[in-house]
Amino acid sequence: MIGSKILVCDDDPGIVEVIKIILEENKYNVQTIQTGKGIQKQIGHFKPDLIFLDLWMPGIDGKEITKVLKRDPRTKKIPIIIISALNDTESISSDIGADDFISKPFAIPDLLEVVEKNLKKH
Amino acid sequence: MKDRLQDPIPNSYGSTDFGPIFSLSNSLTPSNPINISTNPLLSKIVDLSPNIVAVYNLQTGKYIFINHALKPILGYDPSDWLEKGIEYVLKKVHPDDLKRILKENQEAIEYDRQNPGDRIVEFEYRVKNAGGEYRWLKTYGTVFDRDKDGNVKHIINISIDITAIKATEEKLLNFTKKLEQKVEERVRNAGIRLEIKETLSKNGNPNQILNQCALILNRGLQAGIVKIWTLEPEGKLNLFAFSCLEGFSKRNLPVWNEIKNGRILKLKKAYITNSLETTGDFKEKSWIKKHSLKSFAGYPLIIDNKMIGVLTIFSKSEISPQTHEFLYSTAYTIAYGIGRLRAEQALLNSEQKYRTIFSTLAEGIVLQDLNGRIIAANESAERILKVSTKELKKRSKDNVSNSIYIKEDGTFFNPPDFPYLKALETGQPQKNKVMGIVRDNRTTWISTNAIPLLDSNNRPYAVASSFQDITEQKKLEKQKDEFISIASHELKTPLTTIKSFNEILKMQFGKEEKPRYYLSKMHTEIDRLTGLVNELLDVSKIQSGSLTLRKEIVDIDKFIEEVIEDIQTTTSTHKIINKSRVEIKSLIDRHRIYQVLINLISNAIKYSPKADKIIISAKLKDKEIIFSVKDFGIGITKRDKKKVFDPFFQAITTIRQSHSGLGLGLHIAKEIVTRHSGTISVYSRKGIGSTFRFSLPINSS
Repeated sequence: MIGSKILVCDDDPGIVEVIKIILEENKYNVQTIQTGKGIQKQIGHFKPDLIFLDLWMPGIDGKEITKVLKRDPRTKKIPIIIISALNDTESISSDIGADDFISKPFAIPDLLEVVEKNLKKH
Repeated sequence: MKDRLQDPIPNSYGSTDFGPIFSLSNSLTPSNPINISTNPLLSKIVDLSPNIVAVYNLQTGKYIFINHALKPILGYDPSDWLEKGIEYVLKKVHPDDLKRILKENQEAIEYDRQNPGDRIVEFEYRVKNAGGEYRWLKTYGTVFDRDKDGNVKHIINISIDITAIKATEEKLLNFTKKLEQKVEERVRNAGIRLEIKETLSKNGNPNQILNQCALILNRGLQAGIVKIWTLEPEGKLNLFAFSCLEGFSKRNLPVWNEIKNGRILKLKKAYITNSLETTGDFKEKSWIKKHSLKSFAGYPLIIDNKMIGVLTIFSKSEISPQTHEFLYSTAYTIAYGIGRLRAEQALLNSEQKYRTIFSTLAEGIVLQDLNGRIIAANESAERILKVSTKELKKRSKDNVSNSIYIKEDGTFFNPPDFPYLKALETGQPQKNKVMGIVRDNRTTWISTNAIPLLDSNNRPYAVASSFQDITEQKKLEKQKDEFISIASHELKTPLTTIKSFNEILKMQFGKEEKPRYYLSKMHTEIDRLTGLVNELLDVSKIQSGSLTLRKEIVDIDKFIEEVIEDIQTTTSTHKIINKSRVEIKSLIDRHRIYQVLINLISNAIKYSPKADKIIISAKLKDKEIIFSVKDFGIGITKRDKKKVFDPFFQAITTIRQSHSGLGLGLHIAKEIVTRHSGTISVYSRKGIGSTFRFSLPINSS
């Protein structure tokens, strides 16, 4: 859905940049944040339709953020897609209650497919 | 006869009466003396007597009457004695007896003076006969008559020749004495034997024990010198133990027996001499004389017909036949003792050796019986388990434990799975079993081998477990896993960026042929790098035991179709043929089994460059699904077959493969199949092709 707001949260600037480029190329409205700290504030301002979340981040990691967001009635409906280099990303993301996942490294079509799929749900 | 009777009696003594003799008879009394020459009865009796009858004057020392028996008994003429008197006769008495009989005589006279009476006194003594030989006489004497003051005047003696009786008596005495000696000797020898046996049955330093034996023998026999020699391997005799009684110096022992030893050794026979002074070697003569050594005896020490040494004895006294016999058998006792001591020493040495190894080993070792009771534990076991052997024994006996046992994946180790119980149950050694012992919130990791000890019927009766403390190793492994995990994560992140930018570039410049080609090359390499990183991560997980499965119900036929569809897109050279039809759903980790199949098919393609097809099949057999991947390639050598599932294995092939990988794929595949309780195997013929098969148990629930 063109124009949907997507928040990308990853501590790696390269990943953040490349996802931003891919999504903006596909006409999405993208904001980024490189730390879990302050993510709730940014969600409050930006009101994203979908969130990309890295699992491993210094400070508050993706697991905790997911739990917090999924507990909060204001944010629990926002789809969270875990991005991780771990081989068992799939099991972890479903364990913590994330909506979907994508393993690093990913192929661009796969990334876009995941976004489309999860935006459609809502 | 009459003449002879009358002859020795001078007339002056003719009036002599014979009263005292006949005082014993009722018919004759001293108050009625009878003149011998005038009494025909008396003279006949005296004449017929086979014994010497003599009367002498105590005061003058002269005989007044001697009968004819003197001549046949002692060979002297009665006239001779009558003439020379008692003094002369006393000179013929054996010097050993003279003093005694004079003393006895004096005592008798003294006694008579105080208690006058006609007592009969007896003497036994030896007298030299006319031929110069001593004859034993027994003489009965008594008062013949007294003077008017009452003092003894004449003595009458009757002497019997008791030489023959004496000789018999002496013989009897000797015999008794010898018998007593023999008994005494036997009792003494039995005592010595007992003491030696007791000493030999002790444990300890063989040298000390045998010295003690030599001393017992020497002291018991009052010999002088006792030596025990042992035969050394090079055939020489070595003085192993000895004893010398006081008066002998240890330094100055005779060597004579050493000469004889050779003979004893050679002939395996005892040697004995009781006349050392005449048989001893010349050099030793003075020494032998100085210590008045009388005898030497040497005995072979033999066990099982084998000479092991010699026992030698120098003695100051004669060695009697029974002592000889005793020594002969004592030599056997000593030989047997030496044998036992040597065997014991050898055992002790080897036991000591093993005990040293046992206690100094860095591995912990615990010996348990069938009930799991700990029989022995070494120092390392104490150190690793942090419990004393005593406490270990007690706990195993009471079957209590203050520890929890866990497996590598964190689940509990149940008693039936304990390696030592498994070893006892199966009779098979259990190797490299890893076990965590949790106590006081601390985990000690051990890697243990349990080896059953089998009896002659091949049944285990005990189990020996050796174990190493791998806690530190585990810690390092965990750090390594974490490192690999982080490292691969960190590697994959930039890979993602590269890959994505590569794709973005491809979208922009993909229409031009050259950039498209370059970008697709980059793409392949990025995927390869990603694969390698994933493999490393998987192996690290396998090694740390953290490879976990997420099983789900999967339609096997559909699943295989998907796999083939995916892989077919990556190859244009090979046609992947599907021969599967199981019509079943089973519980598997879709992701991991996908990984296995992709790996097997990629290998099949890689190792069959000249072929154009790969056959995939899945079949049901018993309660398993058998998957197989068949290629028509170069095959695997027999030697390589065993190793293909080892980590980092690289087949040596003539094909120069640019995509050779790390050699981890089959290792990971095997691990995944094993975790599914399945098995994987390979069938291959060189130059014809290979078939990899793996089985998964059917689980539809």
